Amino acid sequence: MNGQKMESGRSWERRSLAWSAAVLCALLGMWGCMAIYSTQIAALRDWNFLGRQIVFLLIGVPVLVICWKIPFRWYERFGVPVALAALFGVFSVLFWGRPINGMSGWFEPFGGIQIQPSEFAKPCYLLLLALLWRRVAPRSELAAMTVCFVAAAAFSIPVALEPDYGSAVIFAAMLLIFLFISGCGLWKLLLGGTLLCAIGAALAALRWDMVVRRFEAVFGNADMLGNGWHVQQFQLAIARGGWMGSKLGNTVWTENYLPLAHNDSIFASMAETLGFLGTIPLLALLCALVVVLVRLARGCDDDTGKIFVGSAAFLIALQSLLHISVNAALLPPTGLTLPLISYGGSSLIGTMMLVGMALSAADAEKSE
Amino acid sequence: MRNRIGLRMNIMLGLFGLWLLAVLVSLFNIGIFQRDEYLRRGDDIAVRQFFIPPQRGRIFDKKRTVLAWSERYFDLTVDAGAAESGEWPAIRESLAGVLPNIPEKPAAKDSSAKNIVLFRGVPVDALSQLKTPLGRFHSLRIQPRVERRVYDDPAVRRLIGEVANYDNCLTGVSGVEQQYDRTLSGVAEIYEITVDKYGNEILSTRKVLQKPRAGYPVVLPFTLEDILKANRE
Repeated sequence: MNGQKMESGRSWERRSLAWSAAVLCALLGMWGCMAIYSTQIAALRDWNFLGRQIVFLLIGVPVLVICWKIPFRWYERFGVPVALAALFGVFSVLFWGRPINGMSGWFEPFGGIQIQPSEFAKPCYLLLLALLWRRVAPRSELAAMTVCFVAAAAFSIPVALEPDYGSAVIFAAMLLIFLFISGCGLWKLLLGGTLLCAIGAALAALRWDMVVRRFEAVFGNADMLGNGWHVQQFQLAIARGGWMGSKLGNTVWTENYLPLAHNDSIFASMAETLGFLGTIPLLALLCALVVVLVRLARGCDDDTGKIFVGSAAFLIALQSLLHISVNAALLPPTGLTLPLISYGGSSLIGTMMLVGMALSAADAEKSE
Repeated sequence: MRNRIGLRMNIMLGLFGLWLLAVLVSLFNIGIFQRDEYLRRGDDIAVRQFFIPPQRGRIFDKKRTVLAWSERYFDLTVDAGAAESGEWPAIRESLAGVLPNIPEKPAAKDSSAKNIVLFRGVPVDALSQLKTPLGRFHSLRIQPRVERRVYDDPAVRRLIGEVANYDNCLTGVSGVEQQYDRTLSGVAEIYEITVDKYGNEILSTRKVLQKPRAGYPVVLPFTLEDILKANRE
């Protein structure tokens, strides 16, 4: 009887956490729409961005629910072929992709609709790592690590060649985080980390000048009208926000100086609009989403689900912190979006997919 | 194994928490602690101060005949760099239907000059037609110019004296113009605007720092005829 009560209590807790995660995603998506609206309100610019983001959100929420309601055993069964399809997308965009801002990371199947395969590849990649780990790790941890390294290289190298170094860093760093939370030995992890850094440096060498310029802009002697321009605009936008922010529609820096204010610079743009205090609720919502997903991960009985849900939480945390750190002038510009907030259908729907799949993994034990 | 996963997830959460703390410290530093320094840097980039010279007062004789007055003209200029660049043919083409005699190869009188005058005294009706080329080519500018006119007689001119033009601000250097310079001068309007990264004014950012006042008129205690008569004698 007590066991039954405990089980129903756990199930209720899991359900409420899952709903909280879904609601938090929707709230963050709506916050994103508001943020995009505020980047364009004064300049009477193209209102397309806001309209499109609302459409992406309206697609993203059902996508989350559908991915949630698909039983996790389906993901387990079809995870590898789906990941291979995602990998094919990431590779083929190198040849048939449409270059935007110097990066050929998008397909344009129909006029005006662009799809960024690397955003949809992220959940598939995490699923693939979890499935490979489950299959190989019981026999040999080193073999499992090697297989995961190959998978990570397969995803991150083509993305780095686009060149989208920000996403490549996400793929590589997520491998280390995945291995760490999977319980991999620390010495092996250290060795793997060193190997990844070496591969990263070799890829960066392909466009060494650009990489050096970007690092110099933050850590070295920045030319404020040259390589330091972008970083300086982040700082000036945040400074103009002060404690309480500028009035809506009075965000001079967002409107006129911040590059890609609706996308790569959306956090700095919000800091100008809402001020230091206004960004705290956003950070709190993102933290809440990550903590809820980690709690869901802890509640999973199955290790594969646990690791997958945990990795999903940390992917959102990692990408958010990278974006915010770039905007706070702590790291060089990477071109990463702020999950669920920045403009972009692929990013928004890809993140919704990830959360939906994580919720499905968290639900899996309930039925067992 | 299960405990290890839970523990490591907690460690990861802790590490991300520390990272978030570092981000908050950086945001606080930029947005609050060093805010004034960053605002000053921003102003250096975006805020431009301008002044509009005041309208110089007119000089009348005893019967209120105007002896000296100011006239405003508009000159079309181009940045010296743009005049030598590959952009020039397109600029010239855009001006062709609006203004006559635009030179094929504009050259500055002084080699160190930043601007080259393309057309002096643009007619008022042509100003509105220039809106399109001015919007398209940021190197083109309309520069206002003020000139002092005096009643066309040598005796009157001698009495009224001369003005010098310093940055479009007229200052009396001889005759009545010098004697009543303070009264005639007025106060310039000083204002600042914020410009975007292309140097265009951002609407609604104009701030007046000094209100303008036109120069007062000066009425001389004799008539024009008296001046002419005195000159003849």
